[in-house]
Amino acid sequence: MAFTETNTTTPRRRPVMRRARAWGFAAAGVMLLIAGAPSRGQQAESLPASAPAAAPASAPASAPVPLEIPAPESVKAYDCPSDDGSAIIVEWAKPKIETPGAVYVVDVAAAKEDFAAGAFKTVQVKPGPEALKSANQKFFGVSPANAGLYYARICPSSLYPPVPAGESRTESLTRHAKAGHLSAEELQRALAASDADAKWLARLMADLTERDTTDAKARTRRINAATYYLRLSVSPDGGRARAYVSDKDGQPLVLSAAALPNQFKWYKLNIAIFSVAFCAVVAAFIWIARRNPNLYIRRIAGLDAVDEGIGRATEMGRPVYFVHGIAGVESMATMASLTILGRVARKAAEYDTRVRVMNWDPMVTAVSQEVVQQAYTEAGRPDAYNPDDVLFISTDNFAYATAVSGLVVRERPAAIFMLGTFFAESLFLAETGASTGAIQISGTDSYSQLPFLITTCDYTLIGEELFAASAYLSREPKMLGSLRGQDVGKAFLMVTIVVITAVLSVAAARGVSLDWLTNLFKTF
Amino acid sequence: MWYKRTIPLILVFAIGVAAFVQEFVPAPWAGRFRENITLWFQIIGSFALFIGLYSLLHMHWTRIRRQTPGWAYSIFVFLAAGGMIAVGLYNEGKGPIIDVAQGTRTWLDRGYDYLIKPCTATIYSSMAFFMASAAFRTFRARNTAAVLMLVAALVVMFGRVPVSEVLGGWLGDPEMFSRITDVLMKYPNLAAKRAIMMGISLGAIAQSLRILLGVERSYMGGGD
Repeated sequence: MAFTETNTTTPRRRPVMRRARAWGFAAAGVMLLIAGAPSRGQQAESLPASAPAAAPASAPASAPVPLEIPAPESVKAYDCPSDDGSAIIVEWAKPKIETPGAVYVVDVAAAKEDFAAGAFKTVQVKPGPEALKSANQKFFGVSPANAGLYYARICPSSLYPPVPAGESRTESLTRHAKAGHLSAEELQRALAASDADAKWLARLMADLTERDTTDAKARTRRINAATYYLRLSVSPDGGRARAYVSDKDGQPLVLSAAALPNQFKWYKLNIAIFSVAFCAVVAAFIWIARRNPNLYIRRIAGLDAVDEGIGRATEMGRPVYFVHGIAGVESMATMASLTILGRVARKAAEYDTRVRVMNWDPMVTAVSQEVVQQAYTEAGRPDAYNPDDVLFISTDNFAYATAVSGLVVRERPAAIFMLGTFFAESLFLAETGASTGAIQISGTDSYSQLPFLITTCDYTLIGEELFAASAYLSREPKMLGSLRGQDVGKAFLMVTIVVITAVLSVAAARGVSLDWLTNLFKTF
Repeated sequence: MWYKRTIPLILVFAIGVAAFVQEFVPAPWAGRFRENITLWFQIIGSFALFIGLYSLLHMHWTRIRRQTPGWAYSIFVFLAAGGMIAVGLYNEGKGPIIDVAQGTRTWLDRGYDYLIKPCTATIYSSMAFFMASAAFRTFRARNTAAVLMLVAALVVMFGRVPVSEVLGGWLGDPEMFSRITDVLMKYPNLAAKRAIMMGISLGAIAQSLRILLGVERSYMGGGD
């Protein structure tokens, strides 16, 4: 984190509320209103740091509203923590008294001299609960001090865009020609492009846009990494008149900071600790299982029924259907279902029963073909493998559901395995299967579809049971060890939830605040 | 065996650990890593699409060739796929890759809007019938648990229709049923959902670890 600030140790100067000066600034305010609001980057008109508000001309003389200026020592500028290096934070203490309608304005300049030249950008912050650091726990944590600090998030690449906005095609072509990306002949041809050149021009513009996108990324990084100069002021009404936070010489306090990439998302620290701890527990149980292979694992009825389903299909002389859900190979549920497919295919190959695999994703189709072929080879029946039995159907979920349902009705499989991620089509598939009298074993990580599957299927693997399947079916000690680790993690979570709920309930009943405890479990 | 087992396992471990680490790193290199991985995934996926397309067309061609029952429907697969590919390549006369002017409705758009969308909507709307038949089977009061579920389901369904306010009004509180529904949805239902979600998350982590450590290898097409 870069923390570069200047002159933040100046003693705080309290605002002076003098009626005569108030009237003076009221008059200035009226003149400014007549003059109109300044454009972005225009030099603002400074009010003295200790000035009261520029009260409206109609305001009663007896009630001038004070314009409280943040204490200079409270103003800080630094790199935004836990981000990718795209923002600078300016923070300041919330004044005790806030002027209604007042707005904080942060001036941002690429060089100090730009302030005098009026070549700076402005970012306005409207005071309120959402402008406090406490409203953004993701980046600033849960410190109680944050409730008394306002902040402004300055994104340099937004203020100084890397690509000119609203550029016409001619301007874009000319810019690229100047940069040497186009020859003079190409520029002339592009500028005078006829219908016959439309394809060539479209390809050229696509190339240039791609180049702009790549360049913009590099330029954005450079823009963000530069040092910027910042000063904070308060505007009584969001207009041009401002009272700047001043240094000890009475000049506007200028801070500097650069947005730098950070290497850790601190707001994910609790997740990182839990993940590593849980992985350590699972790894430890895998190690224990190698020494003591006789671990007790609870029974999972849905997995015990796998052999029953294949046996039924063998007896009836009908096929077994394996329906992958509608998720890609990157989904953990699909990975789990692929391991179960291997078992089912091997058992079916041993019994000489046909297995048909219905795929929604082409990549899952390719992996499924490999898994089934290997299963047939391991069963000693490579000749029985038929690639046409591992089908790719469609990447549209209802087209997939309709096609699978049609096949189910026509071929009447004896057993249907529905394992993976499912959405709205789950009921469509499962209800069709149930109507044909097939034994159905389902499992999904989509908890919203579980009620439908439980209703319509004979056995349902609920939640983590789907992921336990490969270990449960293989009975290999190392795999069972990981399963035990998984159960220990679940028991730990259950105990933690019960204990912490009890502690927080007792604390609440006694009026004790234990926010730190709840904050430990917050995720962003 | 080394190139078929060991190298893939090393790759899986290295990429898996890197993917875990980048989740906690905000620096641009982590974002670039994620982008590159996604790009590789898309490239591999595009090759897999050809396998999928071949699988689909080969199966339907076999059906037509052998004239299995319903083989005539397979002709529509070729017609539909060929038609959509043709209009996609034609692209209003501009040919593939070239963007058409903004706001232009191509034949591909029309095919999607007037053929695929209505078919999808029809199938989706037929879900109501499936839901009714599934509900009829589920809501039979066979035992105490089933009775509890039946009552809870009736209350939730009733609390979500306007007539519940009329009946609630007669009983003195028009919001009574919607409040009971909210309590059921917010506490017992949400608690059960979260418990399942936590189990799923733990299971997914354990499965990932098994894959990263090479304990689980059946996804590579082999045994354990």
